[in-house]
Amino acid sequence: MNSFEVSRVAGGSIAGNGVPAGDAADIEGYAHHLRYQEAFEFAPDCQVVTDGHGLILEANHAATVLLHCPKPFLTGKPLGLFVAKGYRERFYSGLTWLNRGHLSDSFEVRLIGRNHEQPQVWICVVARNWESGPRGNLHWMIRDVTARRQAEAERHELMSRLVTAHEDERRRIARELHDSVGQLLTALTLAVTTVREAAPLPPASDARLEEVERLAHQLGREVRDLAVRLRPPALDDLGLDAALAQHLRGWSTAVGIEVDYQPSGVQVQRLPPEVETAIYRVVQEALTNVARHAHARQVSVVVARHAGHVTAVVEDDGIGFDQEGAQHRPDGKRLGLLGMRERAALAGGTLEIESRPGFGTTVIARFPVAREGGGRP
Amino acid sequence: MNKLRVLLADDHPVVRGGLKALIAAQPDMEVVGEAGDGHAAVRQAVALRPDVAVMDLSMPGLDGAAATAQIVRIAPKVKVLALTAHQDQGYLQLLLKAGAAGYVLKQTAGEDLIRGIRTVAAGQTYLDPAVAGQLVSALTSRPKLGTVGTGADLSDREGQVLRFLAQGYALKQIAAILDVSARTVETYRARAMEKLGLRNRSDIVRYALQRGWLSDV
Repeated sequence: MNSFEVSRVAGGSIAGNGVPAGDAADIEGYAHHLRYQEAFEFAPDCQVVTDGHGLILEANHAATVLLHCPKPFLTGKPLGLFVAKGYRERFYSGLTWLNRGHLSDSFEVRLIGRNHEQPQVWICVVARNWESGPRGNLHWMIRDVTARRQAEAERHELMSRLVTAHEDERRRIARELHDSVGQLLTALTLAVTTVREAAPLPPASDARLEEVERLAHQLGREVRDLAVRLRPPALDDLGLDAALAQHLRGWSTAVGIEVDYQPSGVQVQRLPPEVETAIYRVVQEALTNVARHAHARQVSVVVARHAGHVTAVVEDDGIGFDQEGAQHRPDGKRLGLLGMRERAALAGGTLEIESRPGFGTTVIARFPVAREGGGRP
Repeated sequence: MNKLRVLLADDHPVVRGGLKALIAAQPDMEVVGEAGDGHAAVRQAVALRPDVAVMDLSMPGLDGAAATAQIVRIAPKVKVLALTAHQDQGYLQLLLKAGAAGYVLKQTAGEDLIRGIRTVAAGQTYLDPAVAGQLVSALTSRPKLGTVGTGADLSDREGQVLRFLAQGYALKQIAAILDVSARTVETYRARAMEKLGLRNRSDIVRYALQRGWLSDV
């Protein structure tokens, strides 16, 4: 479809409905107009054509529905009038941008209809006949994304409640293991020692009892490890730095990869609990990926608080991977990356992954936190 | 010879029973009091003046660390032997800071506990072997920044990139700020790290801390 013709049409040249009396080319052209007119009028998205200053020349049916205005009311009014307060600056900066000679722009704002509803919309605007400057037209495609944004917000809310519930449950079970099972095992160990010390036992019995004691110790350690794996009590009791340091020591020993941990600004002041948990889990997941895929010799972990934000970086010296490729892989690695991203997002953070084959992988999570009030503790 | 007088503080009656039986079985020890929470532990320690208070870390009300701090302040002659299920160094530090003279793990309590009581009563420090081993390896393996360059030979761009990296910026973000490609940022990074002898991201942060680029709050 010829776009110049389109904007001329939309500018109102076929407002009269008379069938042109002409040759075949004219009829062909008229059919073309009609097809365009239909596509314009009945498009599911709002379609608006304005002049270079943003004055409405034509609007389709969807636009009248979204703004609760009849067409005659819209025509001749500046489109900016229908942008909700607080969003006009973005709208007009788009208009200015186009008037400087740029051909397109897209952004998200809220509109305001005559019924005072403020739908959230995504706007894509394209300049027509722009070579001749602001005398050309602007074609605005406006999509109502209110429902989608709301669904996203609800999903976010739901996910973050789910994650909180999940962590609470893990904390509860960990405490239970610690408090009831752990305590009983302690009592058992103490009882065994008492029996062994009480009287000289026959050598065979003494050996058996030593075995019982060994098993009780082992059981105690395993219950403790299980509790820590669910959710380290240190994360609640002592804070992120202590919990991470402990986890890194254990991980390094278990997988045989050296860890170089450097905290900065997180050793004394606690971070908000959801940020501490998110960082702990993201680092944990990043390390799981390192152990599974990276073939690394060394991992560097940094958790640092800066003015207004905190960052957690996990950098390995392994084989790296092709990020483009990983985007499309339905396997665990991609899921692991998605999981980390989700986890960070739920605590208000962002996640960057840097990798290319042969140059290791770096995971950077960043969370906004309030600047510290007052002095140092 | 006088028997060692021991106070038991643990909120779990079964554990307390076990501790009591084990200690009572020692010819040179006696249990002079029991407490089920931190406040009771402090009261008893002050009233009974035992030689050793065996202190559980997690108790309702006043926890073991807080109770330890109070006992050490009010009755400094009472030696506190902490008894916990936590192997984390953080807990060890917490209790040692509070003034505990010893640290025994619940999982392996038994002979270690008895040894611990005797050791702290004699005025020495007792650490459970599992925890002590960890502490030693943590102290010896703590990475430090080796001798590094002064940064005098860093170019402006290399210095800028290093700063951004220390602040946790991603390559892409740094590239956008400096208006160069991510690969170029990588090159600056590699050159800066080589000039200064930095091995990894942790070293970059250590260097930045040393230079005062980051406020170590």
